[in-house]
Amino acid sequence: MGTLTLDSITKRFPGVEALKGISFVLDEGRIYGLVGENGAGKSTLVKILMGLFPPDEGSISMAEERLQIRDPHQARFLFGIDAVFQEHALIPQMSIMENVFLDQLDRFHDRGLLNYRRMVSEAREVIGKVGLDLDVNLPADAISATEKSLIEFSIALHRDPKFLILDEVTATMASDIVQDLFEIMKELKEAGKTIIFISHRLQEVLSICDEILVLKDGALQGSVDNTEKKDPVAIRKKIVLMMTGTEKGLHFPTRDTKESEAPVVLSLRNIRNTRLRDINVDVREGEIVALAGLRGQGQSMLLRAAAGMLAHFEGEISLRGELKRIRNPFNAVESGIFYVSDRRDDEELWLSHDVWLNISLGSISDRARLGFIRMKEDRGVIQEMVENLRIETPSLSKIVQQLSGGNRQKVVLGKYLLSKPRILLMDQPTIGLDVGAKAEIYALLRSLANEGIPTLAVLTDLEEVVNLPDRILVMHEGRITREFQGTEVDEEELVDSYYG
Amino acid sequence: MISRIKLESSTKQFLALALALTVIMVVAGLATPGFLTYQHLTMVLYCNTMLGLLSLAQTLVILSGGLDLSIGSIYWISTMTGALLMLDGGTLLPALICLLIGAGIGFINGIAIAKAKIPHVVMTLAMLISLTGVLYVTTGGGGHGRATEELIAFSTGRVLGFPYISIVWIALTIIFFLVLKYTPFGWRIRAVGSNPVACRFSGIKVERIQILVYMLSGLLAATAGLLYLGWARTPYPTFQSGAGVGADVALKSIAAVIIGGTLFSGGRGGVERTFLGVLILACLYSILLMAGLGDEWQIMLSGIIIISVVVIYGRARST
Amino acid sequence: MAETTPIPRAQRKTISWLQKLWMALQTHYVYVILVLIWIISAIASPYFRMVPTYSNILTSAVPIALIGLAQTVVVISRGFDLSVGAVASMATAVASVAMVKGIIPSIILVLIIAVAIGAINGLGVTKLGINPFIMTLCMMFFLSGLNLLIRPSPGGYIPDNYKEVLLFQVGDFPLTAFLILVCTAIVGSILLQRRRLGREIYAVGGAPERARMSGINVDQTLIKTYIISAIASALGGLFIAARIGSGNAEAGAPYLFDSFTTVFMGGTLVTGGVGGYGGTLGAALIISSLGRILQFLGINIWNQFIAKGALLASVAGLQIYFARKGRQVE
Repeated sequence: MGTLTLDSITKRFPGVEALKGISFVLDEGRIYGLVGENGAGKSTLVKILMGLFPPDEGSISMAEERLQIRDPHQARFLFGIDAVFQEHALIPQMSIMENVFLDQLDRFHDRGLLNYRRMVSEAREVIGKVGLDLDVNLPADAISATEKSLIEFSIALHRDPKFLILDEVTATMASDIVQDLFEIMKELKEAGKTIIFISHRLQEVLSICDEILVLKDGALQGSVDNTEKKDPVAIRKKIVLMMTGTEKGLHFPTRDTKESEAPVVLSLRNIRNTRLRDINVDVREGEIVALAGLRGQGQSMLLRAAAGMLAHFEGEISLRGELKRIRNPFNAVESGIFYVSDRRDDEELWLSHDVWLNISLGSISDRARLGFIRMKEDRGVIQEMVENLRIETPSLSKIVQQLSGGNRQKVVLGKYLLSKPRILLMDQPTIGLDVGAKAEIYALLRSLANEGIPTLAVLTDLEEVVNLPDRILVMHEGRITREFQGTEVDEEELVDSYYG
Repeated sequence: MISRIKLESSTKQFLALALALTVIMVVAGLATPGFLTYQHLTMVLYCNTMLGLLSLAQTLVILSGGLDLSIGSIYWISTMTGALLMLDGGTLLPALICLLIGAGIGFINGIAIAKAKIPHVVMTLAMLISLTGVLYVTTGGGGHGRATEELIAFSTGRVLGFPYISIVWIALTIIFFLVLKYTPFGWRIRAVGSNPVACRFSGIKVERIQILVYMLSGLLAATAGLLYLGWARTPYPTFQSGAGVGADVALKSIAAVIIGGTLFSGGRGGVERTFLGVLILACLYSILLMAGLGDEWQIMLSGIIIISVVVIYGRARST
Repeated sequence: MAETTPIPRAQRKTISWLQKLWMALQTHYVYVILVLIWIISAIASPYFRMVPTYSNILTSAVPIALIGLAQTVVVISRGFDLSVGAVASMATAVASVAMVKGIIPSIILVLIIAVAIGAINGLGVTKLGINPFIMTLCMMFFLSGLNLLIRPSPGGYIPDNYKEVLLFQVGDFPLTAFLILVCTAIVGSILLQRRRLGREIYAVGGAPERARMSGINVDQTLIKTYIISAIASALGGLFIAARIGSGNAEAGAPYLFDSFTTVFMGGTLVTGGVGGYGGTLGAALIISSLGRILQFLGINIWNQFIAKGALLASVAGLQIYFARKGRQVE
């Protein structure tokens, strides 16, 4: 059996070429790392390997035989390819045990009925392999993200795949659990299995993977041999260079030292709900402030609270010293507090409409007279915004779905800039963007901050956290646990602080 | 030359629709000599004005991401209320009351859907059934009341052989075309249908737009009801057992909207397309009628047409 | 609570029996309401202490329960089926024409047609990607027309022995109706709770994309869902045919409405993936009891329409209110 060969895999989505002719060979008994920025195409590649959608071009073959992977069931049971997906695949309303055996429930038909007793014991056995001891009758949404990842990992183990893809499984895990996971991975490797390990944490990748494949903007930049696990510093440097295209990595705008007494623009006092615990944040004029930490520590929830999108929370929000009553998004927008979602396609854009409508709609009444839009003037305003933000579009009537990610994000920013914001709350402002677009967004946020529109942003990418903001607030379990000044951050100290 | 002119895809679809209508009419004209006369065509227009107004209303609702199954029952409520009130003479006051009732029912729909988040299918279906009850309780079914002479004169009147009420239909279609294209409200209707979350995040009062749209729908349905009253003089509502009063026109209005190419999920489409959709539906029905095939064939065909159109539009969009 | 706390290896999360009891009461609240309705009406009037009243309630609950099952499976799969009433009408129309030739062959014929209808609905929704509402609406259109062609006016022949079997009573007790209800309850619950297909319907309705990732054949599951729905509706229609003793192209139409009321009252969520048949069945009995009570109170059919509409709107409104509240508590 042996090898899995990918030959010039190409995949296009509207407005973006997600994968550009990816070719590589996976040998048995090795652990491969797959790294790249957000939006480099890693998840797309996983989904193609699992048959969730077909590649537009190229082929996948196993030991000289060409595979047509039609769906995940076939990938798993016919070809022995299995994956733990980055977005959890557990059905939230269903019990853990049913999730464990979801695609093989008929195995439990005894005299025509599902035998739940047998399912309980087998499911406990399956999740026990990764050291979990849970009531398998619990619904899947009642457990933590780490437990979900481990369960999905155990499900994959149980099927005994030849090729196992782990997409960001360690993202929410503490380091001791990651170590346990690595032990299991090493055992699998000894048994001749092939593992593709996808992670944003380069340390982890360097410590476990034998070979590291680097994706950038949908293309394979190359691979780095790491069989010896020696000289991690040099290899890391090499990988970062391949990921970002420059030795320095991304280009970040320079930070001036801020006067610590600049006037406070946004002030959050004692924000709390079931997850957030008495949070106090001040954002001052000219600042970019980052909310950092492990995923899901309440960073996004804090932003949403400040933008009036949470039904239940307590605390005070004031803007330039003035107490604001913010109970719904409309209040926030009225006060000049603008939230920019990380799910921009779902929550920010009218994808099937044109650039004009997308940028104009939020502030359209300001430019209307007697209930009518002054089309010429409106067009002029939007055109100006498009030029200022350097949005690459042939015309204002281009459908936004056909734009690239970077341009889409600029359209979102354009929409809000027309509404005269006083502060931006941005949830992962560069998620899914390529390096060039990222640098542009950084520059834009910095110049906005200098012009008096500060930003409070949830940042996840370590490089971003270290280099973009003036201040970093680390969140852990709904609290702000550390604060760093942006220009004097020790990377390791920062990451350590993530764990509380 | 023509191929060099770059048309927006929506304009292309509109032209394709107009072409389809022309083809259907020419075929019908060749098959039956009387079809393509001014007299007959204005007759087709006249007979479908009420459906046209309801479809216009339905277009607005569907564009905003909603659906109004109660539209036909509001139409009948307006007709019957108008008939009873007009017994005492006077046209304007009863008409005004009917319009208010229509808007009021729309308001209830809107509140329940926008604020209480009841699924639109469920809420407007519940409204349809309730209104059927209300209609029979308050008016005892058909055969009561009568339109005033003024209203009859308006509903049956023609200028140069062209029916007044069809002028109303065309005028309202143009007005709403302009509203959708040139007013913030119109843009917001489409935006709410396309992505309500993005609207909320951008500070658009989604719920208010939705409520307004359902009120407009009720208002237009009531208008159609009044125009029908003048035509029928003493109306008899058609009641299909259990399905509720006016369910048939509500379904036909949805058919017309979809044939016009307005996206069922909301956001894209327009009233001008629905206008053509109504005419296409009307011509097809008219052809069936001339072929001696009755109501049941109309209903069956509607189902098949909608599905085919949905599939065709889906294919066209994906390429 | 926190997303990244190390897992306490020894600690086990369990549900206490008290929680279990509370959950059971919550899931079966329709039966609590049903019993309350029966008790109150029995106290209020001797009419509701007589067996024939309840026999009538049971008999009229049968089609509501069957068509309710049809709607339940589809709503759990995150869909809508507007053709349930028209399928039931089709069953009465076809039966009234075909039963001259024999009862069993006609039943088989009806069921074959139902399977075909369900398959077409399912294929339209999955392979052609048509919105379930539109797909089943068109099916409803098509069938209403077809039904009128088959049976232009109410009538036709339903054999007496067919009626006698289905409406068979021991004393005042409608044995067949009762047995049908029991069978429907068993089949519906087993299908949804204890069979692979049922669980896959929940998975698909709960999170379609994740179900696909987990290796479920979503399209196939949905097609089967719509087939089950059509079969259940057709069975409901066959019972209606026995009750009205004839075929009627519009006999099933009112049940579309009832099917929504029962599904939502029974606690199946319109968002998919949550609910079950137990609630629907209880709700069917409630609807049928309420119908009897309204009739007894002398409330005419049209006022009943108003009540029905208001009931559906409030049931749906309450359900959504509680679902939202539940989410906020978490």
